[in-house]
Amino acid sequence: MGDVGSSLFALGYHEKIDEDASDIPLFVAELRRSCFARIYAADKSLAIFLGRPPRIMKEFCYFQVPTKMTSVWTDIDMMAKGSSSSPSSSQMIYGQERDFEEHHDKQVLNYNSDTFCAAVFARIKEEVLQLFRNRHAFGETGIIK
Amino acid sequence: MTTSQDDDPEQPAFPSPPADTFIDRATFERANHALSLLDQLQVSGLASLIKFWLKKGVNLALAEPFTEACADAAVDWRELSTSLGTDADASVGTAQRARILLENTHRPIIVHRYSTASEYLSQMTGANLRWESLGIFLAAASRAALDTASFAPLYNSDEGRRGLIKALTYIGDCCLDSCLALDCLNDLQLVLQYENLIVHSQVDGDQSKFLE
Repeated sequence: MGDVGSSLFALGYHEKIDEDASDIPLFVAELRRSCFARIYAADKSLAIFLGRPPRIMKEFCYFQVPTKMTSVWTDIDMMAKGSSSSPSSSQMIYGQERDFEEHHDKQVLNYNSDTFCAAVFARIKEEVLQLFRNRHAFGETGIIK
Repeated sequence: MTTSQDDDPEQPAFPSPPADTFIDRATFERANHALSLLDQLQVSGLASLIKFWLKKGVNLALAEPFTEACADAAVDWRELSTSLGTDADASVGTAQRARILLENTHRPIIVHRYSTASEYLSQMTGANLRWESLGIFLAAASRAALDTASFAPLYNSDEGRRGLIKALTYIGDCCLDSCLALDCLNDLQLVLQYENLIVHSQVDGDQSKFLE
């Protein structure tokens, strides 16, 4: 876990990943956001399960999750299915459609939505861990207030 | 061992590493070791196992876009290697292929704003196959074997399944080590590190030293 966290930091993916500023396609930005989300979530799960401190603290990160709930690697899927659609006509590149908000009501269940939920829940887990850590120092009643 | 090596006691067990500055002897030998182990596996059978697993709707959580492509690429690589290496000395052939994989792995993955997913994928498959691709293939095979009780002819007993998973996990570790030794971290290596972590959590448990 330490190695994965260190690699995440070394690549700078704990900072804001912005496809517009970085000259990268949407699918790469989504992959990097998913990396952050998955690794952040795994760190919290291990910390809680093993009673160890988390290694990736949100105070030092730009918290981010995948923004698209359906695959942004569509041109690969289309190639695999023998589609004649050219990559340049693919819808995946610019990702103008199908963001999380649009799909929220449809309750899409896939690995993207799982990544999204795992990271959001992990953020809450980190806050709970901090509450437990601080309870002796400040008193539980004071924390709740 | 070749005849010339037998004649020369100074000759190392592996062919000499290339003179490139980015491949040192330890990295080269590690890659050779990984590939020699990989050559002993039934790659096409493992690819079939992965596809059987994918049909259930399961996948690697982070490496999902790459899983099937890496399985196909591993099979293609094996077929190409077999056709090229019929009469050549096995250790020399392995060393040459390990070197190609190291060179491919050392090459940055080029993307720009208008890159397509298929362009990205072409940089990790076919003639551009990288150690990361093989690592993802092995991680997927490990996970598929964990989820599949029996898959002849790869295994048909729990003992055989456990042995295969241990072997896949170990060779997967070697692939990841070969990538990281090149000191050229990239998105694929991060994905592979995560998937390798998940495999170890399922094979060895969360308290294993592999998860520290």
